[in-house]
Amino acid sequence: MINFAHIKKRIGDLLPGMQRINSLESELRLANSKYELLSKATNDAIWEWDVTRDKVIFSNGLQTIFGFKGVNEYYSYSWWFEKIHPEDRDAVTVELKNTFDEGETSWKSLFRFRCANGSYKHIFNRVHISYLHGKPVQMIGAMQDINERIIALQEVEKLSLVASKTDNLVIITDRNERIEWVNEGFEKRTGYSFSEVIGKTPRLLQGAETDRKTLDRIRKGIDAGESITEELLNYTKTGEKFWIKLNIIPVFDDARRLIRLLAVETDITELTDYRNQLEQKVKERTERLELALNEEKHLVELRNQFVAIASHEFRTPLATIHFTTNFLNEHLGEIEKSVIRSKLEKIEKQVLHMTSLLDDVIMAGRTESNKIPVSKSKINVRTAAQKIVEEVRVSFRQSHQINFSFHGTVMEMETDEKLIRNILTNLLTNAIKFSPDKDSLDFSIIQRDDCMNFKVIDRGIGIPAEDQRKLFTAFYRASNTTSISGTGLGLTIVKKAVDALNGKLELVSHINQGTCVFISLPIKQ
Amino acid sequence: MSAHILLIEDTEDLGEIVCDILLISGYQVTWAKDGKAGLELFFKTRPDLVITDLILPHMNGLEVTKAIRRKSDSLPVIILSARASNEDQALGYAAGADRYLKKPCTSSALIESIKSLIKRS
Repeated sequence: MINFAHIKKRIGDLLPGMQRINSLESELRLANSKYELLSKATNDAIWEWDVTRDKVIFSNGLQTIFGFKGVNEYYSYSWWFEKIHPEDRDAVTVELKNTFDEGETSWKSLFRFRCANGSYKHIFNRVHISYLHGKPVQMIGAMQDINERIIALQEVEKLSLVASKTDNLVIITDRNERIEWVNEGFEKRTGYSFSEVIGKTPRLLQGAETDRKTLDRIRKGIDAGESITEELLNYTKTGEKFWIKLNIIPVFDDARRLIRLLAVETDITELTDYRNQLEQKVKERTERLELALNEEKHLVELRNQFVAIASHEFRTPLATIHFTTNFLNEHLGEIEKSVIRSKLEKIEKQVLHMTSLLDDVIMAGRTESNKIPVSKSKINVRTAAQKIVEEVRVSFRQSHQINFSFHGTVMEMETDEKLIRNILTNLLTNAIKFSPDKDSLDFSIIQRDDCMNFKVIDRGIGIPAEDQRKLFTAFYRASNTTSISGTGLGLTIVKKAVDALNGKLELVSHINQGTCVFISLPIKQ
Repeated sequence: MSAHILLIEDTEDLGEIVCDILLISGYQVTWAKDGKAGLELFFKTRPDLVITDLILPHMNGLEVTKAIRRKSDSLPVIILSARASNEDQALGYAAGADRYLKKPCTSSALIESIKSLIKRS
């Protein structure tokens, strides 16, 4: 028979316990759901380790963070421990042992934890430990995924390392351009320490030669909130100049408000110097080329002038010769012998004239590398000059009186007679040719110490100031000589002859007043 | 009566042989040795033809030619010059010359030019 009363009593005895179990169950359910909620909210992997039975159970995070399936399954401590990065395992073991030995109830640690796909994540692990009789029996912990933060932090560390260690100058200012930070590169190059410049503006690097226009452009760029790249001259603390390539980057907050300016400056002094040197070289080369080109042009011009003038100067004697031979040929029977002889002499004279023209051209064409040869002999300069004066006077049919004088005690010169003749003939011929309206000129020789000074003064048309400089250029003729024929070689030859004899030449001339040529030659070569 | 030619030439030897050629060819010749003298002689002697050089003292051949043209449209003018370029030739014709002979030329070329120009005028 069933003793209901007994059963009833047993139930009555059990009921409070069952009620307790019920309430415990609901408590547990509540705790569990809180726990899941917590793990979801924190996005952590919550785990619980029953130390005595070596059973570990994980929350959802095991899958969401690390990609492992099998949440709510039991794992062993060694499964968990093996997931720790080999380099971090020793630290974890030591820390955990210390924690247990000290009886600490909480343990915090950082390590890398392997995911299902084999990659590692940085983890911040926080644990609460329960002890029984001094031995850990239960641990509950949360593994927080801090991978992104660690990586970001490492990036920042790397960047700040770059910023502080780079040879470039890095300046960070606030929105008012007050310096907040500078790197070592800045301190090294400018000579200013960080503490000296903090709170100041980078304008302290600028100086007198810093280009204002560039500064204006930078200012405009900053005001417009643009990135700026410019080259600028800066000064160190001691006033040494250096060139920088400057890159300014404005930094804005989310509301597009300027919060700071970042400037990276590269020292380009060497580069600038190099570039300047290069530019200088290019300039020099260009100048040299231009010079060569001008010389070439000059030569071409000279050749053209030679063709024009020489052909003109040759045509006149050729015409005389041609007319004379025609005349003789056509009228040979009608004319007297003495006339024929005088005509033949005229032809000979023209041939000599053309030969001397040719000599002039050859002499004027002599260059630095092909100087006039000097053959020395002793001459009496007074006698020689007197003779030349007579010759010139006759060749111009006594159109001008030549007032010749000699002053001095020494009349002998050791020199090249041909060159002296060339110089004096040219000077006297010029003096007559270029004073067509006058009838006299002065020619003096003054011996002073070991110099013989020759002076020829005419009162003719003179030489325009702008032409005087170019007179010694072959074939160059002054602008006021168009009505007077000539080759433009006379003074060129005189100058070359004077140079060959180590003498000096000076020329003073005023238009419509006359010209004075002064030549000084050493008595002894 | 033979024609009268005014020669303006500053080169002594050349002037001399041109005079010889003109004289032996039957012309009367007046010889001036610069441009100004040439123009003065032109007014004074009233020649039938003028031969002028270009590069001359005091007044060049182009100026002389122009001055003659201002006085007479028909008087024959021959330029006899050592300037041989086309530009010089064009300038000579522009000034009013009837012929432009380049030095050197033959005496027959000179005489032919004189004959044809005198016949024409």
